Amino acid sequence: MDKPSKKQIRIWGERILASDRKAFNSLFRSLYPRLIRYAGSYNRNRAVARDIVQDAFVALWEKRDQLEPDRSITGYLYSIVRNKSLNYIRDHSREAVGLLEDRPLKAAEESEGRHEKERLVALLKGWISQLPDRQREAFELSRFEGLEHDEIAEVMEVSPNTVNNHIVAALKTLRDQCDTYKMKQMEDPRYE
Amino acid sequence: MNKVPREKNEDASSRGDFFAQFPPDDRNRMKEIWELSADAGPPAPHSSEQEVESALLEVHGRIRTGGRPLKRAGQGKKNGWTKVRWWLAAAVVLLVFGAGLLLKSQTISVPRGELATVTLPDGSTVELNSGSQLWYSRLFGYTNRTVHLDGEAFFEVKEGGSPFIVSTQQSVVRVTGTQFNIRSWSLEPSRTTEVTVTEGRVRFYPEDLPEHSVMLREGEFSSWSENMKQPLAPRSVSVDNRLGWRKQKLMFNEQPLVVIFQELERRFDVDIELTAPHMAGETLSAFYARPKHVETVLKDICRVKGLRYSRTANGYRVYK
Repeated sequence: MDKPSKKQIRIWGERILASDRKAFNSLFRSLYPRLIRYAGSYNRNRAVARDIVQDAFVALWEKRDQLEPDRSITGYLYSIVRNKSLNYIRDHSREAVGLLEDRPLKAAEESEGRHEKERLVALLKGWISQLPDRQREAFELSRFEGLEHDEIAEVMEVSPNTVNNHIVAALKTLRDQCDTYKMKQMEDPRYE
Repeated sequence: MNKVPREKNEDASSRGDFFAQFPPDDRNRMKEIWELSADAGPPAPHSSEQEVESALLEVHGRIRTGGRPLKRAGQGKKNGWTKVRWWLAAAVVLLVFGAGLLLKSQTISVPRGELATVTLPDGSTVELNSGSQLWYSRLFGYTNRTVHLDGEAFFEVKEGGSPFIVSTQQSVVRVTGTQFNIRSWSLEPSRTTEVTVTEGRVRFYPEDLPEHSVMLREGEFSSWSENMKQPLAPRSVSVDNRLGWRKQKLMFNEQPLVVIFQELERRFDVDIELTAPHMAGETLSAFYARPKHVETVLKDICRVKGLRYSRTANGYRVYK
């Protein structure tokens, strides 16, 4: 599935405001898989993730006449999915749902013998998962979900400036960890 | 497969500003980390086509209130969904079958690049311009004769018991047995509704202010937009110009470029992207009897306004 351009999404948004179901369908088809994956990062239970994403689209359609035309529809959907996911976790905290629990903390262990870049990527995964929560969330929304700063700001309910600070801080941490790793490796090639 | 470079490009252009905030000697290193982390994310989204389609069907099943804004529905005020659910429950008890049919509205969407004529259940006909949408309740002709329009249409209304009403973006046209044209595109920035009458009489008023109505007669024109108290006083116009779209004429009378381009997009089923935003409000008058190709028109507009255009995947980009 090709990623739709921002302009395309904006056009769909305008048509949805004008009650165009076809535009709604197109938007649904292109964002559904991404949102399912995003919801899945909060909740391993695929049925729950599916319900939450569907809720978000139903809300979008039913509240379309209250949407501001300039607001990003992508940001709107992500923020609903996030809030509903967090509510679900709050209300079902006795069940084992948890936030991104099975992210590898020490992914490096499985990277032995692999190509240097792959090893670094595996390490990066671990470092990302160890970032402070807000930094990690902003970084992941930007890097992996492809959201703009102002969209992330809406999802995380902070200012775009704060989003930028989080991402910058995350990148710096990752760079420092990368540098440390490389330096130690130069001293001792067996270092992991 | 050509997806990868395209995404990279998008990335590079939209992230340019982001990396500019780092000191020059840091910038490349930051970019490197950014690039490297591309593969450190979750696996690509995977939902089979079948999965997506069945989810979409479920969502439509849950919406079920017809293709129009709830607030214009006249019912369903605060909590549309709950209300519809009660309606649904009541209807199921009373009728068992057909409840869905009664509640669902009938929607006609005309694809871009095409014109369409539909006959309503009461025998009235509606000619619809490209890209227009018309919807009405399944009870049309029984309890009411109300249709909703987003776009442009020419109506020939059959005389009948209940008044024939066209509701557009926040304005209403109420008639008995008559011919008239309505133009009301919700996507146009001015959010204007224009009415031209070719036969009979038409009462025209803002949805919330029915007492502020005007009465139009044959050959008269009026318009209303959101910030006006009352529609313009009716005046005589050249009806042929107003109805030219039915014969595929293109007629622009001091229209802003943004409106003209939207018209072209619908008529020729192309996307036109104006990347000179300060030009959007520039107005232009033009007339074309039956333009075969959008480029004929585009070329003229660009020449007059000192713009240029180039082809894109699904249309044109217009720039300074």
